[in-house]
Amino acid sequence: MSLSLTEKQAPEIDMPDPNTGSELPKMSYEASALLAQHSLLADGVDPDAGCLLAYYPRAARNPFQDMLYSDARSAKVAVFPVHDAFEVVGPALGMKTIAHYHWVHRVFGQCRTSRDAAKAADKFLRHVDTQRAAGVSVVWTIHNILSHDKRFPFEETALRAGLATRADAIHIMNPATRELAAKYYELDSRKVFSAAHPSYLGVYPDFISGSDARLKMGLSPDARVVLLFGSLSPQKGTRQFLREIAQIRQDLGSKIEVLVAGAPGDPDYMEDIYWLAADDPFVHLLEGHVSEQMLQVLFKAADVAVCPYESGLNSGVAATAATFGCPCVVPDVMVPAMAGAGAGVTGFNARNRSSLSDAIKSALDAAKNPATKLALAAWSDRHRPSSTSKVFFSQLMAQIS
Amino acid sequence: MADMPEGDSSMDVKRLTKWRLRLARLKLFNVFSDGFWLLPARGMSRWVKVRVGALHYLELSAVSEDRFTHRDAVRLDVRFFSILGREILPAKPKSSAEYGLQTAYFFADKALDADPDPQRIYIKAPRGAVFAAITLSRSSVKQRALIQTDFCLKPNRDAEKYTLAEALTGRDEFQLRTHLEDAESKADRRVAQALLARLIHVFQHPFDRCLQRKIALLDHILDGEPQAVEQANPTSHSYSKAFNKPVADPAGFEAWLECETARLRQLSVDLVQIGQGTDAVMRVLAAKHAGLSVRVADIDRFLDQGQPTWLRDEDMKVLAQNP
Repeated sequence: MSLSLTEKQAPEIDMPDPNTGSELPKMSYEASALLAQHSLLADGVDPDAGCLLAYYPRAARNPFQDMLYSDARSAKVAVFPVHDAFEVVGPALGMKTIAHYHWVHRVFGQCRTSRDAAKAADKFLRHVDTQRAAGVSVVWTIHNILSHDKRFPFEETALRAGLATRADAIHIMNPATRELAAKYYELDSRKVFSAAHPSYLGVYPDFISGSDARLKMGLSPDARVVLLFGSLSPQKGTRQFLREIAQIRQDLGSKIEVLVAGAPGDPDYMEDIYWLAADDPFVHLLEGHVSEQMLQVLFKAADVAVCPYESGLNSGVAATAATFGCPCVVPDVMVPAMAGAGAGVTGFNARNRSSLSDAIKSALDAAKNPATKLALAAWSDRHRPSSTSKVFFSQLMAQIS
Repeated sequence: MADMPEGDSSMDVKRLTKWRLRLARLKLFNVFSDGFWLLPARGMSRWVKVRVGALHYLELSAVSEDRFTHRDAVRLDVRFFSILGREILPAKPKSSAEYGLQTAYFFADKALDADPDPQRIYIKAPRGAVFAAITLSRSSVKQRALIQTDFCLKPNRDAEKYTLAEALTGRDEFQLRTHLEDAESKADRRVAQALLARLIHVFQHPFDRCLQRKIALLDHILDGEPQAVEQANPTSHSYSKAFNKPVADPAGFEAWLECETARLRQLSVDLVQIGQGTDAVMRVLAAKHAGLSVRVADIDRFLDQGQPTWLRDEDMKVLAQNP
């Protein structure tokens, strides 16, 4: 189905949504497509050779999508977000159109029961069938095997399995994704393409020295500091880490200061975090949204960033740490996603928590080695957003053509 | 009748009407004597008489509609007035032990708690104050809270003193700080750490965190094994002058200690010699923190000098150990 817009159909533009922190005006699919087509024409791209990519959902506070799509114009693609999973019903303006899905569990947003979730999953998959029948190419980026909160695990597994079957192309950032997902759903190797998580080089301010960062945070230059960064929620492992920190200090035989920074989560969970932080004079809790200016201070003040997650595929925190030259400790399964970072990324076995102490020790030792900083700088440079985006679009276009 | 919170059907919940509030203001009868009231979105105020200089407290229980405790759910504002109705602004509190706060917050306990703990807010009336206007409101208009209070300011002398165990599980700042003062007078760092952890968890004041770190550092120094350095001609560093200004506050202590320790480590000395002076203990602490041996010029005088906060007699002996 092709949409044709007449002059009478003026683009519907809403004010920015304060709840999502989006600075962009909210536009309908049709309006966005029209502007995107116009933008391609202005760049001298023939509409028959160009392509529109509509993505859902938009992560307003995370620059990941802007980074991933940063080289879209080289591939003659104009990218825009849609605000509803069901907005893209057919190719816009007769142009080749791609619907790109990210965190698909968002279709369960309003569901209260498993039955609601099953209906939502079914509705979404039927919508994907409609899209494909109308000529839209469907692409899916797998950020996690299952979502962090897993509200409806069975329904989400069915949703992901259905989308994997239907999608024209599946983007992964961890080479082990197919093997790890196989327990829950099959991924057809012919559809899968890999483009690693980009580094944040050139995205976040980076001009403060490590010594100044420590001074700003009131930390001694001699202190050994680990950083736990990211939203404070059970799946991020912060609570468990704070319960284990005394044992980790004992294993390492050193007084470690812990910086915990991130947006607060569920109040009940936060009470545990407050209590654990209050009980330990060497835990610094910085609760709240961390500004882009503050990121460099946190990552440069830290010797090591720790992602004490129980599971996951890839981590924006690890990529951020690498960008600031800060070694990172991640679950073993995430290590392949950071291939090439050398000693800058250390894995631990999430099922054997005692391995976390060993991993932190290795990472603290690596932090003192100038070769680690060089390896992280090289990784960041190789994965700068424009390079990763180039890889993403070249592989995507090859898949859908 | 307001909707009752889930799992709390035993509670007697009432909605406060404008007329009931007016009757309460006229003191015809106390409408707040029992039961839980749904705190109106617009808040509620009441005038009470106060006595200058005396510490008063207001007791209140609050319950949220949720299955978890809400921090800072109920806000309390106090304004003081003279007999002529002129507002009197209290002086800013000089220390954490003063209760000159004009705004304070209460927790709203989870709805499943059938008997939520009463919480106390302490209020000290400034000079010239005769009346206080107490306003209770929701911190968030969307977040409903049920409250139970008699709206009376009671003199603190009437309050019973909690045991240490009770204070450690409660949310009474005055009681926690009273026990903290006791711990300070006995230099009991272990009890102080427990009290400070509770104060930080409940009230989150940065000055408590500073003190907690200071005590943790003292523990670290005193528990550490000083390196036994025995050399024929040890290289040494001597302190001969006193500080221009004493380092008293916990944050200043921590910063000084870290810097001085680092400086001593860089000097590559084995022994620190400390002359007489009021700052000897601070310097001994830095030397011990750096793992160096210490020689104090006049050991008896060092032990006799005024014992600093949070150090016991046995701690002073540990610090004064000569190589």
